Amino acid sequence: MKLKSKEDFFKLKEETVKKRAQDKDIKLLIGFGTCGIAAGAKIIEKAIEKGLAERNIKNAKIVRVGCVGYCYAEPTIEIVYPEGGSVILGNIKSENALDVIDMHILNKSFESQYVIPRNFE
Amino acid sequence: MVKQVRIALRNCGRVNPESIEDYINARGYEALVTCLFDKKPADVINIITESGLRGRGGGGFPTGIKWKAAAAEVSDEKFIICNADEGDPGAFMDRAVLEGDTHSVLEAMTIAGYSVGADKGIIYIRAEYPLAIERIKKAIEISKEYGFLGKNILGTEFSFDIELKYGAGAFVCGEETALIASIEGKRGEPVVKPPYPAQKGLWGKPTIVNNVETFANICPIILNGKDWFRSIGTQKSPGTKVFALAGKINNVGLIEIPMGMTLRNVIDNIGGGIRDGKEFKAVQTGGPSGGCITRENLDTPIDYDNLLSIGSMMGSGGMIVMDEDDCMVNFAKFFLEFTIDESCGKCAPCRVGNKRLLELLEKVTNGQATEEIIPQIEQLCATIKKASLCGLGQTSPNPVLSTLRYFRNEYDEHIKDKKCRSKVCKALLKYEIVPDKCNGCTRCARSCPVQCISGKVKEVHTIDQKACIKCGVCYTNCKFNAIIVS
Amino acid sequence: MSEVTEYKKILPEELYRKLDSFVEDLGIDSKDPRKKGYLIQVLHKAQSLFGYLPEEVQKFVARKLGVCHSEVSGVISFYNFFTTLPKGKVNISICMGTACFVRGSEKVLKEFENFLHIKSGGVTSDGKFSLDVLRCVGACGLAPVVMVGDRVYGNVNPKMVGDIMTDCIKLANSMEENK
Ligand SMILES: Cc1cc2nc3c(=O)[nH]c(=O)nc-3n(C[C@H](O)[C@H](O)[C@H](O)COP(=O)(O)O)c2cc1C
Ligand code: SF4
Ligand code: SF4
Ligand code: SF4
Ligand code: FES
Repeated sequence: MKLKSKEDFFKLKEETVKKRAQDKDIKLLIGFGTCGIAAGAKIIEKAIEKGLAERNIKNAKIVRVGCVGYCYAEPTIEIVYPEGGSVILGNIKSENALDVIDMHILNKSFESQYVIPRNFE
Repeated sequence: MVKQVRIALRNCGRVNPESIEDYINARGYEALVTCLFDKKPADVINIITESGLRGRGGGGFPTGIKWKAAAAEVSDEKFIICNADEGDPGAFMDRAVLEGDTHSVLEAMTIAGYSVGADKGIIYIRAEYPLAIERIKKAIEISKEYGFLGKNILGTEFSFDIELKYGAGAFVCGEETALIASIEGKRGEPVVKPPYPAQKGLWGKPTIVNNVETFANICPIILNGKDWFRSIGTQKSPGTKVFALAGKINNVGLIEIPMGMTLRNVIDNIGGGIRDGKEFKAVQTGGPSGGCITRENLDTPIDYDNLLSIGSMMGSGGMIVMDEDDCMVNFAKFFLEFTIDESCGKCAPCRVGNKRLLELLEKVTNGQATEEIIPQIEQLCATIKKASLCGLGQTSPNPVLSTLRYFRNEYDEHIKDKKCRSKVCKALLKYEIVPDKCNGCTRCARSCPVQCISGKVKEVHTIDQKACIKCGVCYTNCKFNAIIVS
Repeated sequence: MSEVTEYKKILPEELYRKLDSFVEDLGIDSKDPRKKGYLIQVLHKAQSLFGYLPEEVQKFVARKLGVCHSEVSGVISFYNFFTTLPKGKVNISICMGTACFVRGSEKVLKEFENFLHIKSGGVTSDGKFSLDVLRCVGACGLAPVVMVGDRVYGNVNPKMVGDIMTDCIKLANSMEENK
């Protein structure tokens, strides 16, 4: 799909933005930078996938993102709710996956022992 | 409390770097489209110049002025190079940007190409960053599919391609002329400037070398305007700086702060204080070329000029926090060893001078130095600074000079009292057994590698100080805290 | 390929063929005055294939790119990443970047040296393990960092060295078996 003009670009942009705005899934942003992967991001991703299937959750999606900056707490997951707001969880281990899903996806809680303080907006 | 402001890191942790859709959704490629269709190359350069953006690779040279110089050259060929060599050990800002927001660097390089009339971009990246390399390759490929890179970008007359070149573990190759030599397949030895790369760079053609983070600032400036950018940071250093906060700090991580924030705010608030409740000693910025910032300067607003005036430098963004357990003489030695390893050897002041300097420092940490050594060190530093050919040599004495300036007392203690207060410099340590606490379990004697501890079972043991090699094994092995170090 | 068989080669022909086709794919024009720009890229590939760059490989690369051998060896000796001596089957790298240094990587290195009875830069006598230091892998948040192949171990302290070595021994054994 080669864009050939300014109009092509803005058409694509509009479509993309619209598609994204309609996407009402909860997003789980997992830090997939070098630090995150070294700290076990891939294992966490698997555990979360398994947990989502186990709880039969269909409205949540994992997104692999780069380094968020909370290196001290890797692996990290930021959970972004479609209605607004998000929480950042740190030092997640694979055995915490179900716990995280129950608290932050099913109950949409903004507090738990996994939440780490946000140091920027 | 001033909070972080994210410009260069705006998308890091927000978008999937491997998804161009994510990037477009986050206003990606809008800046490029604006430039290509609504702005003349000179307009773009003017915006960058007026924004006051300064190079984030360490030197702080105004980016717009560099672009203007390259644009003014008449040549059949020009190059845009992105410096992703990130040589400062302990810094990972550029890696994070390349891994987390790959497209933004490609987009900015393309804008630079349009502005100065170059059709070829090169990312020079360290081989130690395999993940970033993989993501850049993917991003280049997909950008070509969409027509953001390649021939006739978005149907215009403008064409631009980007290719990758790999470093091979040489710190000096971060220096722009050495980097260019390395891309040409040569030993990465710096050459004397001028001519500057903007006039005669890669293959003798006008070339712009900018740092990754510098590029990461370009698109937001185009989209939001120069006034917006100038409203952040300080008058002489607008915008933000990304730092890799590491060392003895609780919240090790990547931070982006508006210029002008104090170090105190960084350490206490963003960094969450010193680990294990220890005492703050200093922060090193600028890596092996930089210097330390101490308690007395905790409230100095961080920007290019202030850091220089207190004997440190902005550097590329490494920020290493040290606590009471770090010996500053040993720390200066660490950087000097690094410099010696990394010196390309082309000029004698750097190659030989730094070795001599290290020998002097070793005398200090071995307890063999007398008071005359300080002026000797100072003089040698001055010579190396003055006579070296490139930035590596010219800045290599900085860690020594800066620790001498702020931690003269630690040098003096090593020299006069033969003591290392942080208990790091082995030769100056003394291991002793406190008779009252020793119950004669023999554990220490059995573990001492040179068998210099004597004593009968259930009797107080003693260490033969002459034979002790100060390995510390007995200290870690004694279960009754009967051994003390001083 | 006849031009490359004049000097003695003890390394596997198979690997030379791979390197050869890699260079061919680059489509280098032998008259291109800028062809040296490919040298470092080719050396990276060669080292990833052979594990190191002994003279026979250097000569092969020199011929292939049409540059002289002294230039190739000059470049190799300049860059730390390139090595002319073989490493162990499993290479263990200790990060000695500033962040790792202030978090005690020297002690970790010492412990590995004691465990393996080799110094940094050395190879064990059975050729299984080698030890070296590197400068920052960009995972400073996890300092001190140890790398074994692609695997990164974070927050390492001397007490963990035994466990890491257990992994390394397993890795070395599995490489033997796969052979
Ligand atoms: C010894 C030495 C090492 C350097 N290493 C780097 C580096 O790793 N990354 C970088 O961007 N600039 C480095 N620089 C600075 C570059 O020479 C150059 O100034 C910079 O890439 C220009 O980009 P900027 O204006 O965007 O900062 C180094 C300079 C010296 C003297
Ligand atoms: S100052 Fe050092 S690194 Fe720079 S050219 Fe001279 S020897 Fe090489
Ligand atoms: S290990 Fe401690 S208690 Fe035991 S003999 Fe040595 S000093 Fe005494
Ligand atoms: S420091 Fe080492 S050499 Fe000295 S007494 Fe203790 S164990 Fe023996
Ligand atoms: S200093 Fe060791 S990973 Fe950066």
